Amino acid sequence: MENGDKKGSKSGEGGQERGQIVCVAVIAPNNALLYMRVMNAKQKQGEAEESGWRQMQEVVYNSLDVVEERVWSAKGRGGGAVGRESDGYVGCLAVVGRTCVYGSVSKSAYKTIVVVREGRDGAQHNGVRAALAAIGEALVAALMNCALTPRHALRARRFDRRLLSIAADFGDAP
Amino acid sequence: MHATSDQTSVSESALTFLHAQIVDYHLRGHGGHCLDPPESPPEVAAHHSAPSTMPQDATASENQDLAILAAKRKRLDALGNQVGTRLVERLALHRSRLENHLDMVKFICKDFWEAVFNKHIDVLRTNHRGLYVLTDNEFRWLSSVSPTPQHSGLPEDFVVFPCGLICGALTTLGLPCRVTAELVPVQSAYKCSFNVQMIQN
Repeated sequence: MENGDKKGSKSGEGGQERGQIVCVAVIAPNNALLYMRVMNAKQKQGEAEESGWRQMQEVVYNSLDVVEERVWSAKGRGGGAVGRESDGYVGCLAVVGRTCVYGSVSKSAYKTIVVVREGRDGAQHNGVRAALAAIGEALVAALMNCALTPRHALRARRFDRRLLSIAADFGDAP
Repeated sequence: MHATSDQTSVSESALTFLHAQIVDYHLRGHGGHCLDPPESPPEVAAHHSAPSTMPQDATASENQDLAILAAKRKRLDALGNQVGTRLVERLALHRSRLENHLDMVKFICKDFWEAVFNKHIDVLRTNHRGLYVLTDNEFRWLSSVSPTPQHSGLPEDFVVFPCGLICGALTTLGLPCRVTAELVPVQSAYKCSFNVQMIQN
């Protein structure tokens, strides 16, 4: 896992034209996993699906350290623009093979992690940022649901559908 | 609670009456019944009626009543806490990050209070050591509560939910705190001071 600020995107040889969201995770302020969805996971069966999910979980948890480091250490130093914008975007957290991990932090310290498979077009950064902002809004809408207990596992069909729609708008349909 | 022009808004008086009903339901109605002590059978009650006149038993019964009232208030406070947690998520969505505790309290005084009560907090004081005093000179949710003691409910009951509301909002923003309220009757209204004491980690 390579950690770094990746501004552009790799040009994939023979890959998709557009980038694709492969995983979305929502983490509570106490770093508990509230929601995780691996796109296209249903195409794989049995152990392959399980191992793909586990792999993504590992990637997400490793990225959390980078989020903590960037946001809170910058805050501790009394400076740093990381995560200070209204959308809480913290940029590219890691690069794993052909996928990049991006994240954002809400004002109440909910972290949203998105794993994106890079496409050929270079202008992916803004697209990821917009997708993270849209996921943030969907998350707030889900948290408004009185049937859900705050900081407990997020199981809401509307949130699921909204995420699928965001992923479809971002790149290929999941 | 009020909202921007493009969103649905709620009548202020309807919200005030709803709050009064919630307080009544939880402290004196069915909402708090589960915390009441089980009623004794008539013969047992009769058996206990003679000793209950003793001062020791009277004190014990009074203490029990106070403990039950405290438990009911705690539940109401938790309810306000949940509402504050949810509300602040929505209100802070498009705001820039709140850097320090004073910014968080200022956010509550302005944006949060504006959204809930359609006004700002009148006075904010701090000792710069984790204590903040937010004063509302005319607290709206007490506008229908008479300052005279004949009123069925204590005015203090009506600030339990708002205390939870503030506590939930600030805790969600990253300022764990304890909130208490002080009431001062001013003419036909109440001046309400919310004391926010930061909890040190």
